Amino acid sequence: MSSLAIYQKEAWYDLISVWRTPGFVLPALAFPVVFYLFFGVLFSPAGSTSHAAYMLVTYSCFGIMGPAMFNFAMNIASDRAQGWLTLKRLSPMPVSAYLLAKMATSLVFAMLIILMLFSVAAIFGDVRLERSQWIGLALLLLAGTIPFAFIGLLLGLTLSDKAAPGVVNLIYLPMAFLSGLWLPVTMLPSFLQQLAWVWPSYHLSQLGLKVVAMDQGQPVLLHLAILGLTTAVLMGLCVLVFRRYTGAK
Amino acid sequence: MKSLVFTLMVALLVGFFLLLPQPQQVLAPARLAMAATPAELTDNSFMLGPVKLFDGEKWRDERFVEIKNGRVQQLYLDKPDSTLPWVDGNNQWLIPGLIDSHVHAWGDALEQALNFGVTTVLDMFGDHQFLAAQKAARASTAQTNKADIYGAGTLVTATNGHGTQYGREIPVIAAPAQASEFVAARLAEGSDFIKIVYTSDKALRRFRPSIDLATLTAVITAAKAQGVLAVVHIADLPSAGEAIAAGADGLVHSFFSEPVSNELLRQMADGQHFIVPTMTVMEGMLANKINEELLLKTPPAALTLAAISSLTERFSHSPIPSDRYALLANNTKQMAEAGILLLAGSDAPNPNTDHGVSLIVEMVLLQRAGVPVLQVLQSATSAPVEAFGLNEVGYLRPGYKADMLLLNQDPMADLTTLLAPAAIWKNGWLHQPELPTANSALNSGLIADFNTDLNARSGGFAASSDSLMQGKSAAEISVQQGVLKVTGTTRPGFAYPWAGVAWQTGNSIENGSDFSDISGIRFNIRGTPGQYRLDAFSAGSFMPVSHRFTVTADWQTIELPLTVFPGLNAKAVSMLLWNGPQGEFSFELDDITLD
Repeated sequence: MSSLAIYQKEAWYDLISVWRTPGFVLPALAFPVVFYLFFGVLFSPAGSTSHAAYMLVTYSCFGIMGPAMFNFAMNIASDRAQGWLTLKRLSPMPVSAYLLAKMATSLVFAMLIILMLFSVAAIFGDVRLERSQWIGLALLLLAGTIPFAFIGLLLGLTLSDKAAPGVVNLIYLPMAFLSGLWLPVTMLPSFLQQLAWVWPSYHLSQLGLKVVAMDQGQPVLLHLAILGLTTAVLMGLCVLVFRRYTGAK
Repeated sequence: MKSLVFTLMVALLVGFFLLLPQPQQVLAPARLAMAATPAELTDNSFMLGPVKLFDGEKWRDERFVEIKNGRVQQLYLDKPDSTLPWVDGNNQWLIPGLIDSHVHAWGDALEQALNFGVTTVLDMFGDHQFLAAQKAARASTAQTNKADIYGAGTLVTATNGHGTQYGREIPVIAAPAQASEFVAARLAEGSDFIKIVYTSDKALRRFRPSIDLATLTAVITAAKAQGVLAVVHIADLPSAGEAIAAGADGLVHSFFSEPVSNELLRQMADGQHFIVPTMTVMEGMLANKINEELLLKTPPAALTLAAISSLTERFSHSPIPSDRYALLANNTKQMAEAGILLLAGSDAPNPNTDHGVSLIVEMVLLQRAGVPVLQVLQSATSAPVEAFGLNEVGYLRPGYKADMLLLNQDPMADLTTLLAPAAIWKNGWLHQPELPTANSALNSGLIADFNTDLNARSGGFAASSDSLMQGKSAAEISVQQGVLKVTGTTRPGFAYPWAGVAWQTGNSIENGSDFSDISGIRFNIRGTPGQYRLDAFSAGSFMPVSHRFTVTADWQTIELPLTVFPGLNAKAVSMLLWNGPQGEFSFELDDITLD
């Protein structure tokens, strides 16, 4: 079997296994759309043309973070607990195929969320963006899953399968709120606004808002640098933990 | 099969993004996302941001400014929904237009001021008719190329006191009893406040006659009774102390005669009196370095040749030890530390200063003296507003005029960024300074031989005397038998009497001509024997550099190298003026030649 085929098969089966877990699929797809319908469209201030566009960006960020973190954290934790990871490592399949498969699944889910949110925004929210803005936003969001995938990976490698869902929720939801993904960051108390700089999701949302020219005005490079740095640190930690995990076996 | 599914998926995705709605083309510029540069806007209603915003008092969290019909409508943290055109602030620094709290404005002063982002000036003595003519613009937000002016009109001084030497007949005050009427006359002429010149009997040096303390007190009292501010010109500590004790609202100069006393500091701080230190003009009397450093090494684009002449012009008094500048700076610092309200004012266009640009120099000098930079920014924005009770300008807050400067760099880090603002708005209209045109160079050779007429190779000749300034001299010129004949009388009357013939060197008196390639001037002259004087004027300056020479009844050729005119700006010489001797004279001039 060619190595490309291994990658394809692993990705396909990972997607199928996730798809057959309604407990994951339904909330991952439904939450952002329902939230956005409520807070971005129905509760939009009268006469506002920009509220729905602003919220589209933040709820899209919120949406794409979820699958990336949950898919990695919960499935890797349970694969570890049930011995699947050990088995797979004994097979001729490279570990990277396993990780890239998870990444591919996250991207598929991110894409679905983007499609749904963009549709809702266009149909119900009267959001009108230039084509370059629609596409740019989608590409940015897809790339933006990477740091959250690493957060999920780190959690999946360190937590037990029972702890993983709880801990991920404990990080995911507060981080989304504190980064201004549910409410505009400027509506948060000022100390929380300053704290927002800590969260990668804040920087991703600011980059997204920059595409629609509604960001807070810090330079693009600053957000990119912080996101890149966060990703690099998380990647380093993952490598360390993975070495320890495999070394202990 | 698989690749078919894959292709189908990709096609669906592409189709999806093609179907996503776009803004309608007609509405696009007004509604969303497409920012204009300041220059693209042709209106005084717009949304500006994101910017870092100094509102005249402090730095704000708001990043967007809504301008409607030339006034600040509202400040916003985030870009609001608006049908107004959006001007991109590029995250640069936005501050209110600057206020120069000490100028003497005439001619194109208000235009020059605005070219450097000074959107309002406080005139501390000038032609009240000029003031009255410009006043209406203050309440308007019409497009203009002039700064707003508030002014004292004619100042209050004694017979032959400071202020009477400039050649305009002005009313003077002699006794306290005239105070009320005198102030009322000024207000009737349109003065916004009263400026008084005062030198105490206890002052170490008295340069000119001054009103006495009783008159000073009476004028201040009269001003207050008639509802306007009284500010006082002083040059020394005793005069400052007496003016403050007499109830003056503020002082329009600092002093370098001696260190400021703790008593005066306390009195001024407690009574909330303000001061306009005018360090720039004094720097010109003392240290004489700052213009070279800040302006002349790499002149800002809007700096005219006339401005350079004024900036390089020197006071003609005997030298004062330059360590007095440190004393002046220390006085300023102590006043700031004592909590006295400081106002930035340039005293333009006195020597070493010019309109607009010198206010920025003043701000740098205030900072170097030790005034915190935030306070320096206030001194040219909100402080004059508070001191003089202005209500249209000085703040970027709802209701105030949209007089604004967009800066490339953080002024808190470097005030010299004010010298090259990214944009200037006056009344919400973008102001684009008309950059000065270069003057033409003169090469050596004959200028005029008067063989048939008055014609000159460049510029032209005209009779000139102090009758222009209400002096008592007079002059006439004519061409007779191939020479220029000048007859006239030089009589005392004006502070600097003159009578003779003037040669305007080029087409424009503002620009003058470039004398860089000229080493000297030569002419033939004979006439009433006596001491004659040749005055040379730099463009923009009304104070000539003079050289005296003796004329006899016989023709002689006078050769003068340009070096006999120290301080003349050879890049912009506007006028040469041959003056006859004292009393009645007549002289003949011929073959004027440049070498």
